[in-house]
Amino acid sequence: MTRASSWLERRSSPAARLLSCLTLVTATALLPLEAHASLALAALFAAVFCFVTRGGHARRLLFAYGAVLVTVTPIALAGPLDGALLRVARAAVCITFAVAFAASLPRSELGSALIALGTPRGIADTVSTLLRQLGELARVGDRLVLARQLRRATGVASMVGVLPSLLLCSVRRAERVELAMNLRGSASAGAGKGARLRLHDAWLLGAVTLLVASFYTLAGSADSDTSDVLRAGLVSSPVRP
Amino acid sequence: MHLADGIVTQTAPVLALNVAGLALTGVAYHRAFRRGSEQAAWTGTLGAFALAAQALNVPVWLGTSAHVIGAGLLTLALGPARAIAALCAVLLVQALLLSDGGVTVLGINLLTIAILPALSMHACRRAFGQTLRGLTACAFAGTVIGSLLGSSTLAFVLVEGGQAPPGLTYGLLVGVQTAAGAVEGALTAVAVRLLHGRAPGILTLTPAPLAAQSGQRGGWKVFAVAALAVGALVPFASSAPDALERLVGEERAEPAARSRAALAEESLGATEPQTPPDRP
Repeated sequence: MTRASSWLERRSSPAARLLSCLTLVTATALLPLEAHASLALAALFAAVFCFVTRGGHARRLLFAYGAVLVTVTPIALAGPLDGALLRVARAAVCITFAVAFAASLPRSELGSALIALGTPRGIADTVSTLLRQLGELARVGDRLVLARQLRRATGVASMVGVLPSLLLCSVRRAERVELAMNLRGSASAGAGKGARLRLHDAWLLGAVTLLVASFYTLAGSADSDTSDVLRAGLVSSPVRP
Repeated sequence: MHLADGIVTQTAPVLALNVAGLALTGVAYHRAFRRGSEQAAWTGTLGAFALAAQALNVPVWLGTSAHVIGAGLLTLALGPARAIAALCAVLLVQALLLSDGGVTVLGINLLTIAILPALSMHACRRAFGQTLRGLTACAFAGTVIGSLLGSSTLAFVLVEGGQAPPGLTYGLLVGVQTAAGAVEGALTAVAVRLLHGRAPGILTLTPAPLAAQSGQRGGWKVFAVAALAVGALVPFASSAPDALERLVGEERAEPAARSRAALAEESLGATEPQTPPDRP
């Protein structure tokens, strides 16, 4: 299945997808660790989103989960294991949401989506330029590494030599890009118009709002249950005179 | 060293650091783009260099590898403000497209990966001077100090917001990241020497007035914004206990209140004048 045929991509604007991603990730990251039912619901919907925006998620997900495990290892080694596992679960759900929505957001649309959501123009333009130039610079870097390997230069020395060459190439390219942008007038005067929120995004934003509301309703009921159990335990415990 | 979403709970110190990171990036953004967004071409292309350079891994030891973050070279080429703006774009792309690093902890990631390394490199550059030896020493020392500060901040965040054990977390993170910083510092120093031989102008591209202003007037603004952010958030730490603490406090207060009420009733009963029985 190609990117263009992604179901979510055809039915919503990039700004709506980015806003939904940010909302779901933030809501999940701020869920209390005790809200097991909310985390389970979030995990279920994250898996559904992953399925809907199906792409080559597996490698990216495994890499991100591995990074989380490395970060949480000290907590699991010396702290309570259940707390560490809950943190891993919460982080994994956030990552799954982010990966699922990232698959539905083409690189060329990120800058305009950021502008449509009110990100400062300088940062959004920097992101757009970065994404435009990244592929070319990565190809140049690969060519430099290959050229050094063909000359039998391996190890640290070859890699160190690549950095200045790549920086010089980047600077030359930056000069050309800046000149071209200045000659065209404005950097991105019309950017963001095609990516802004529209009426047909209402279904996605509404669904995300309902989802977040259900997370926190469940979290609230779980919190009150915990409070009741705790209160009962404290009241039934003998009070020292 | 990217921190992902959901690992730490946003307690008051973590939230303060998060907001401080975003505020400092805002200050750097205004300094970098005060003449409009025309310089986005330069900043973005060198940001792409940083992202591409991170893909070049150098094997270090036991199957591990190190890669340059690029903050050192970017700061030397662009100055601290535009380097922070470029690294902000890199972190945004990593968080939104590559799922590497979180969006709810973007301020913390900016602080540990962009702001502290760039500012330490800038401080070292001012301390060591613009000669070849000075730039080489600055590339090494600035990268090591930046890694040390960044990893210490990240360890603090994990201890405060993630309930990680302090000894193990500080030892592991600061130790490993400082060693990686030393490797990266050596790589950056060698790269600076090579670059100085081939294109010395790149290392002095930053206009002097901009560097001087960012070091003097900008410094006060940076500290003022950071102090305001911390000062505005500190009251929440003391005045808003979480639900569990409040519940336990209430439950501890209730028996005491009940016992005080019972004592008062008993004392009232003891001293209360007994009403005489109604005479028929």
